[in-house]
Amino acid sequence: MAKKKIILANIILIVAIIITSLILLLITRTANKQSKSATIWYQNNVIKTIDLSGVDGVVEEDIALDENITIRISYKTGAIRVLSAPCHTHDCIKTGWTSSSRKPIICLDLGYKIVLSDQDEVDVVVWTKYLV
Amino acid sequence: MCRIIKTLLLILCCIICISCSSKDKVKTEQIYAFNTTIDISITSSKDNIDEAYQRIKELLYLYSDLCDRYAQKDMNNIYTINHTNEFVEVDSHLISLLQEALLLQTETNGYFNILIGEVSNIYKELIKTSDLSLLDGIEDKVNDINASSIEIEGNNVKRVGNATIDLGGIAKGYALKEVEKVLKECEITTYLINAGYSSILLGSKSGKDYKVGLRYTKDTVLNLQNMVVTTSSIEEQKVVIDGNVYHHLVNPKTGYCENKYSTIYLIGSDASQLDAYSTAFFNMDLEDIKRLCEAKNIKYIIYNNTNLLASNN
Repeated sequence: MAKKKIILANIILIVAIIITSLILLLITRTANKQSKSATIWYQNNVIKTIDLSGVDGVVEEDIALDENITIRISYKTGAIRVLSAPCHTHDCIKTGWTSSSRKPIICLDLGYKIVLSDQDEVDVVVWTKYLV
Repeated sequence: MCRIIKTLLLILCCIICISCSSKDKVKTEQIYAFNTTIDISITSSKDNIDEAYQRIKELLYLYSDLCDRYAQKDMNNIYTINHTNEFVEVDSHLISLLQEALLLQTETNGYFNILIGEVSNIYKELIKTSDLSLLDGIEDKVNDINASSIEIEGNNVKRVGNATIDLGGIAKGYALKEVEKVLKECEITTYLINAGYSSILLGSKSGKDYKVGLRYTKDTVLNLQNMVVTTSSIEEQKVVIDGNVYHHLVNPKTGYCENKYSTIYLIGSDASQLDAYSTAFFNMDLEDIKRLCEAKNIKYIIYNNTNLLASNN
């Protein structure tokens, strides 16, 4: 009888481990799908990563790329844009709101970019050719 | 029975540990070359990944400096060649690139032409200033292109005539082609090299396809591996004056913008070829594009605004 109880306890333990693993796997995959963030790069460095999930209203923020260059961004749940930047062409501002990794905000003039990560979309976006 | 259960538990733990561990090393970095950002991402379990990564960066910086037409670098480059009509000794990498460019000029019947430098300058200024008077001398510039040539003797290059060289239509693609050789030599198969979002070199994503989105084509995703994807588009670099569209993908034969297409995507195996073709195709007839793509085993997706004009993908 005692032996049977031990066997039963061991079986329950194994089942519990398997179920826990499956639950953890499910949580991880779901979390990856729902999360969206924007990463601001400047000259090979990550300046800031902004979590775009569950943002309260529209937030404006100044981002210092270096001691001389500051840009002003605005973000809301799932999207981000550049409001002002001291570049010549203002391509980054003209890009407007972006809510997808397909539409990164790129400023060749200042050398920064804002890239969204959305796990359930694409690895890379083919964009355009700049004449240099 | 107890021993069996303990053994099973042990095996389960081992499986969990093995699946969690990864022998693969990932190298990712963004560099600035060719006046744009280059995102490098390579993954490998081989010991030579660091060496491969270093070689790739050095190659990209080297070609960026060699192809620079705006500044003299620590070596003779396109800037040097453009400022003299004498022979200039240059790095052999540049010689190979120039030879490839001349070959592609022949393949595209002159619609790809690296002697377009002065015409490119005019349109860059036009897009910035909207000053149509800049086009007053365009026919002279086209005549200069027709009267100019490039001579190569060994590692020496001479520009004959007044037209100047602009490698913007091939530099990134050619550099990616050389990068691909390094990756293959080092037996690295998982990589994604994104050169300014317009030329993208794809390996395999650990044996699977990469998902590639197309910027101007909503909801289209290509599943690709061991391929190159290139695009030319006027969407980001154009100006509309009096209802006419002026952009940077100018016809070297006329000096004017053909407005047959707005975006061209090409998918193939030769990054250098695709880069040059994506420039040339903007001024070519659709039937000629189809013929050349079929001959070279290239997939194309061609748009005029939101209208899909042609695709063999």
